[in-house]
Amino acid sequence: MKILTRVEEFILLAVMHLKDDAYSLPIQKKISEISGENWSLGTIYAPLERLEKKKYLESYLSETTPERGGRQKRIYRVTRDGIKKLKKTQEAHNQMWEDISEPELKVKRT
Amino acid sequence: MKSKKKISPPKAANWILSGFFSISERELIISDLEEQFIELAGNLGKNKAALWYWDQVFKAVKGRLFNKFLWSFEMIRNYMKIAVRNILKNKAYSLINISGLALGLASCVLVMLYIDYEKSTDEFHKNFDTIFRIDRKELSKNGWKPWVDVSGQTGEWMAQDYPEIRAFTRVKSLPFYNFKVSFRNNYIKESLIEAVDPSYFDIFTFPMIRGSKETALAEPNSVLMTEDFAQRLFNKEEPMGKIITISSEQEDRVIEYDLKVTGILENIPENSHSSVTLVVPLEFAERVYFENGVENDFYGSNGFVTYVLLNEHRSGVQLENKMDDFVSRRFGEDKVGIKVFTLKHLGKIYSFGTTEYKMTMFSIIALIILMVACINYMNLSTARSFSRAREIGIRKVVGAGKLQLIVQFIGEAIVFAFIGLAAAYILAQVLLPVFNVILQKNISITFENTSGILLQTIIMAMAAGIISGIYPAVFLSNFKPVKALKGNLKIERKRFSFRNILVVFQYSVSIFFIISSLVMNKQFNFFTTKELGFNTDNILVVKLDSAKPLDFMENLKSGLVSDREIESVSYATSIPYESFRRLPKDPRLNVKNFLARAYGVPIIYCDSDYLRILGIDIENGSDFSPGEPSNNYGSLVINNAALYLLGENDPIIPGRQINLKIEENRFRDFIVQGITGDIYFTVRYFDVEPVLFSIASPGQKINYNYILVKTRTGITDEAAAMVNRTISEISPEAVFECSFFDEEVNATYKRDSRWKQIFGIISGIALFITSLGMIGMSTYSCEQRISEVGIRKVLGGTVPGIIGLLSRQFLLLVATANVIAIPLSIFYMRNYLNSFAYQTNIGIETIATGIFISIILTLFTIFIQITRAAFSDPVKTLRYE
Repeated sequence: MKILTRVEEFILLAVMHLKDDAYSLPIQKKISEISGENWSLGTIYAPLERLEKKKYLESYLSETTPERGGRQKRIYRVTRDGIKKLKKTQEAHNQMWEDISEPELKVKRT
Repeated sequence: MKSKKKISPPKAANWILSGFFSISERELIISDLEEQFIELAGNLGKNKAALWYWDQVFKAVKGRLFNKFLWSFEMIRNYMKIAVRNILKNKAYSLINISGLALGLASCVLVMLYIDYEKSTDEFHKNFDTIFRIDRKELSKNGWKPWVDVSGQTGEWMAQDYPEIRAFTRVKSLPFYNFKVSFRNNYIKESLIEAVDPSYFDIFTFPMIRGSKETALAEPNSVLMTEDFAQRLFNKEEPMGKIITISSEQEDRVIEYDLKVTGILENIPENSHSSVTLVVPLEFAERVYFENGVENDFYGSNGFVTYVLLNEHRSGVQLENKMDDFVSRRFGEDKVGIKVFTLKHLGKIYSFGTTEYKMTMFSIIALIILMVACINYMNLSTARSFSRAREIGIRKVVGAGKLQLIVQFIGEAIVFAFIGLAAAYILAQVLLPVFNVILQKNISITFENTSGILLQTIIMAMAAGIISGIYPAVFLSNFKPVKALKGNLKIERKRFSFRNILVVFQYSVSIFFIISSLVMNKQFNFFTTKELGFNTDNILVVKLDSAKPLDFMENLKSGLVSDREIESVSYATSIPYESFRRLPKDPRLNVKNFLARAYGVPIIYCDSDYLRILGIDIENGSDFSPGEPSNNYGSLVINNAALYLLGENDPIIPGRQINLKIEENRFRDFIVQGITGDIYFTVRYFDVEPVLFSIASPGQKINYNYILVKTRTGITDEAAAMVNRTISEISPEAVFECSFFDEEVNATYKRDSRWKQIFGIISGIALFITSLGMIGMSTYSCEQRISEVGIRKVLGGTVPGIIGLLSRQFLLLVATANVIAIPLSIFYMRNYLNSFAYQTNIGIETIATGIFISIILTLFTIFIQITRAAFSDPVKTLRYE
C-alpha cells in the first residue's frame, strides 16, 4: 500500500485546513506559508488534478463572487478515501519517527 | 479591493491565454491569475504586477506549446531519422530508387521548362490578352486543311461586320526568298521581309528605339528594322533616314527596290512567335507583287496572316460562333461548311515547330516515365518489407496507429522524391544542351524560369512521393504485430500479384517506346537513304553568291575539270532540296503534286553532265548528249512524276514535243529526250514532285548558281580546299560557299529526325529505369528463395536448372508485357506511318528486335543475382533455417 507523497500530503492537509475556501490560490498560499518556500500556482495544479483522479479529492464549482470578477472558483474537499490515506501516511510517519530520541537528532560537531 | 480604481490584468495577455486553453480550463486559470494579480498590484504596483502576469501567461503558453507540438515534432524527427537511416542502410536500393525518381523528375523538369518557354512567347505585348489570329480551315479531298493565312479582305470585312473588333492588321511576306539588303558596300543576305498594315504597331507593342509608330509606315517606301540588323548593316552610322537597297536575283534579271529607314525596333525576344527583322508597309508589297506579275488580285488572294484586337478576351469565343454567318454573308452560302474561320489567341500561338499536340505528348511521356520510376519505388519497398517487419511490429506494439504508419511510409517516399528532385535539377542542367539541340530551341535554366516552375516541380515531387508511397504504406501498415515480431513473416508469391502487374506495366511502356523508336528510325532511313533516286557520294556543292552567266560557268568548269583529282563537273540553276525556278502556272498542264500545283512545276537549267554526276538513270529514252552544248538546246529530260503532264491518258514518250509556258506570256517548244525514274528533288512529305531538266541556249540569258564537283576518291577537306583554290584562281572575284552534298541533303531531314531522337532517348530512359527496378527485384527474389535453392541443390538440382527456374518468373512478366505492348505499338505506329506519303511498313523484324531487346536486357539485369544464387553453397545458405 502506497503512502502519499509530501506534496500530496501537504495539499490534502491544506484543503482540510481551508474548509470552504479551499481553492487553488489559498491552497498555494497556505503551503507556501507553512513550508516557507514560494510554491507557484503551476506546481500545485498538477497534484490537485492527480489527487482528484485518484478520488482523494472532490471538487465543485462555487457560486460566482464579485472579488473574482464574476468568475467561478473550483472548491476542493477531501474525500473519505483521502482521509484514510492521510491517516495511513501519518501512521507511517509516526512509525518512522518512533524510537528516535531527541539527543540523537542533535547535530554534532565533528 | 484596496484601491478604488478597478485594476485589471493586461487584456492582450488574457486574449493569448484564451487561444490556448479550452473554456473550462481558461476560466479557472484566468480567475486564479487575476486574483493573484490584483493582490500583487496592491503590493508592488500595477506595472510590476503586469510584468508578472505576462510572465505567467508566457510560461503557461510555453508549456502548452511544448505538449502540443513538440511531441508531434519529435515524431516527425524520428520518422526522418528512420528514413535517412534506411536510405543509408540499403545504399543499393536507395540508389536505384533515387536515380529512377531523379530521371523521371528530370524529364518532367525539362518538359516544364519547355512548356514554360513556349507559353511565355508573346506576353510582352500590352494587348496580349485580346490579340487573336484569324485561322482558316478548308475542306478538300483529303479532309480539312488548316491554314494560318487568310485573304486580304477577310480582316477588313470582319472588322466592318463586328464591333467587338477594335483593330486588325495584316502581315504578308514579300515574294523574295533570298535577297540582299545593301547599304553602300555593305550587304546582308536575308530571307524574310514582312509587309504590314500601319495598325500593326498599335496592336503589337514592339518597343521602338527610333521613330514613332504613327509615322514609321506612313510613306510607301519606308522600312523598319531591328536593332541587331541595323547594327550589322550600318555599323555605327546613324540609320534613320538612310536609303537601303533590296535586291533579289532571279535567273535572268535582278529586281531592285530602294527603301528609306524610318524606324528601329528593339530586338524581338527569341521565343516570340513573330520573327520580324524587316518591316515595310503593305502598299510596298502590293507594288512589288504587281510589278512582278506574281498575283493579279493582291488583296483578293490568300497569304495574309491577319490579327485582330478585340474589346475583351472572351469576345474571342463569342465571335467564333458567328463565323458561319460571316462566311455565308461574305463568301457565299456554298462556302458554309467548306471554309471555316477560327480565332486563335496569341498565347496559343507558339514558336516555330511547336504545337499544342507536341506539348501534350511531351507532358504525357514525361509523366509516364515518372510513373515507371514510381513503380520501382512501390515494388522495391513492398518486396523488401520483411526487413522492416520488426520496426513495424514494435511501432504497433508501442501504440502507433495504422494511420500513423501510413503517414510515416508516405513521408519516407516523399523524402526519396525530394532527394530525387534535387538530383533532377542537376540532371536537367546537364541534359539541357542536348535537349536544346534536339528541339532547336534556346531554353536555359535561369532564376526566373526556375522560380516559375519550382512550385510545380515541388508539387510534382510531392505527388510522385505520395503515389509511390501509398501502396507500400498500406501494405506495410497491415502487418500483424505478433507475426511481424516473431520474424516469420513470409510474403506469399502470387502469380498475379499487384507487384507483377506493375512490372508488366513498366515493361510494356519500355517495349512500346522501343518498337516506336525502331519504326521511326526505319521510316527515317527509308526516307533519307533508300529512295532518293540520285547519288550524293563524293560530290561537293559550290554555291555562288550571285548567279553567273553561261560563259563564266563554262570557263570555271573547264578549269576545274583539268584537275587530276576531279572526275567531272556540272553547273545548274539549282540542286535537290534548294529552291527551284518554277514555270508559271499553266492550266494546260495536268499537275497532281501539291507543291507543283501551288507554286508551279520546277525546271532546272543545267549542263549535259548534270544527270550523270547525280547518278540519275534514264529509264526511257536518252540522257543529254555529251560534248557540244548546242546539240541539246530545246531538249528536255523529265522525271517519272512528270509523265502525265499532258493528260491522264496521254503519257509522254521520248521524242515527243511539248509546249511550255516559260514565263508570263512567253512560250517555248521542247522535245522530250529522256525520262528518269522516281527522283525526289523536293521534300518527301508529299508524293514525288515532277521536275524538268533543260539545257538553255545562250540567248535565254540564264544565270547559274550551283556547281557540282565529283571527285575521284572520297571527298575530304583537302579536296574541298583544292576546289576552293582552283575557283579562286580562275575567278578571284567570285564569292562562294563549298559544302559536302550528302551532309546538305541530310540536313534537310534534320527536323524529321528529331522525333526519332526524342523517342530513342525516351525509350532509353524508360528501359534504364525499368532495368534498375529489375535489378532490385531480382536481388530480393533471390534472397527470398535462397533456401529453396539450397534444398533443390541438396536434392540434386543442377545449376542450369535452377537458373532456368529463377529466371522463369521474370521472363514470364516480360513475355506478358510484350503481348500487351506489341499490338499497342503496331496500332500507334500505323497512325504515325500514315502521316507520310511514302511510308515503310512496321515489319516483323522491328517487332522481333523489340522482343529481343527486352528479353536480353532482362536476362542481363537478372543474370548476376540469379547465377550467384544458383552457385551458392547449400551448406551456407541452409544453415540459417
